[in-house]
Amino acid sequence: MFGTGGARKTVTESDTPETGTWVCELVVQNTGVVHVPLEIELKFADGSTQRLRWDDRGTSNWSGSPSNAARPWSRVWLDPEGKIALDNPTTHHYRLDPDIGGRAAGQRVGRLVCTDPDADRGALMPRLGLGDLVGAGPKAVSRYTGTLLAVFVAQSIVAAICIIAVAVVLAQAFAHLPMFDEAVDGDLVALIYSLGHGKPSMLAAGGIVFSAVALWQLASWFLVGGNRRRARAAPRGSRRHGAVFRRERRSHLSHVREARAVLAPRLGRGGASCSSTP
Amino acid sequence: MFFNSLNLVATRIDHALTVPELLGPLAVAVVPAALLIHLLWTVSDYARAELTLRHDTHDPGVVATYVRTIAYVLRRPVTLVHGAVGWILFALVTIAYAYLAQGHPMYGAEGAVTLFVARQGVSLLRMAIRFGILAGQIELGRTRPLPPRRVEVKVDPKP
Repeated sequence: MFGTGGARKTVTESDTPETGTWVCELVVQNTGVVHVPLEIELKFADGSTQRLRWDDRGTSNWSGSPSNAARPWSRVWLDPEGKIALDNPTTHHYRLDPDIGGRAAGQRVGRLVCTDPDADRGALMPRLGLGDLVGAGPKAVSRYTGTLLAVFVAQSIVAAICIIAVAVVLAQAFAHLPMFDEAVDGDLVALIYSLGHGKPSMLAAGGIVFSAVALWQLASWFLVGGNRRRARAAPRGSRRHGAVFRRERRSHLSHVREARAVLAPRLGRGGASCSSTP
Repeated sequence: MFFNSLNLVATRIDHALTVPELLGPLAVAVVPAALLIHLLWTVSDYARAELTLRHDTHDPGVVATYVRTIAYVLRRPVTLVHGAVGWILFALVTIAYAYLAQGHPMYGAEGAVTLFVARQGVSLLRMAIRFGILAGQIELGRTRPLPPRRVEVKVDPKP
């Protein structure tokens, strides 16, 4: 389906019969300030190559579909002979097959910086060690001190309410019995006598403690979940704290887009976007 | 598992004459159960981190996430070591509190308030340790392989 609104049209297989050829399009852009002629080498799946030339005058990008061929492209190489030594030549050589390329690159680079074999297509992931994990703790505590203290205050309030309630219950039964004081001091015999005498009060105190623990356990699911989300979003500054709990749609692809945005200015002698459709 | 282990050393505990003779077999009996519960807690922590991290983009299933996390934790012993570091710090704080509170009876309302403040200080330290461990788990959780995507894709209805 192509187009939008009234201009939308559906192209079916019968409209575009299989011709056995491939339509390939290449766009080369010079994002630097120096404009010089550029040679482009296309490599096809069967191993053959084709050389093109772009006489860059700084007026526009180079775009074209140089040939219809019964074979797809496999690689595009800008300045294959390295005549233009203006920036890093590793950014000039592209594979069009991301699966094979990603895996091969992952295997090679993995020897140097440890790609993650579990990650998607062997992607380059930071290999975190124990030091990194432990080091993340003090950073998080110092950055989110307010959050930590807020949770602590909530926990303290629950604990204080629980202590007061238990004290009131025990005072009803033991306020006039000095033996309970001896039991609290560590006299085991006095403790056994006190437990037998004030069994209902002990059960009530146990019920209060159990309820408080259950309440805190329930609350902790929300509190810990909020903390995880906070640590995940890693906002800086209290103004952004509210945004942490909003829905985020940062996917793996968004990180790829960010990486491309960061790398684009570094390409210097042009970035190439290539598509190959049968 | 704890009771099974305890049964294995029950005879030694029954015939213990000194505190070391009692605590030694007891500590040995606790180890297998402690290791198992540490593993399960670690799996639970990383599974919860994964569910939080990937909820919006992938909406992973809970059971599948826990199963995948078991394999992940077993393949990455650093997760268990990192969690153990947290528990060791937790135990050190508790032991330090017990050592300092030993021989300091706190009577009356003043003692109760002092005790409350001291215990809450210990609680704050423990919470900070737990928070720090959680932050490390999130850092490692970010590098995990992505789960299968289950988020629904909105499609325009046919005219």
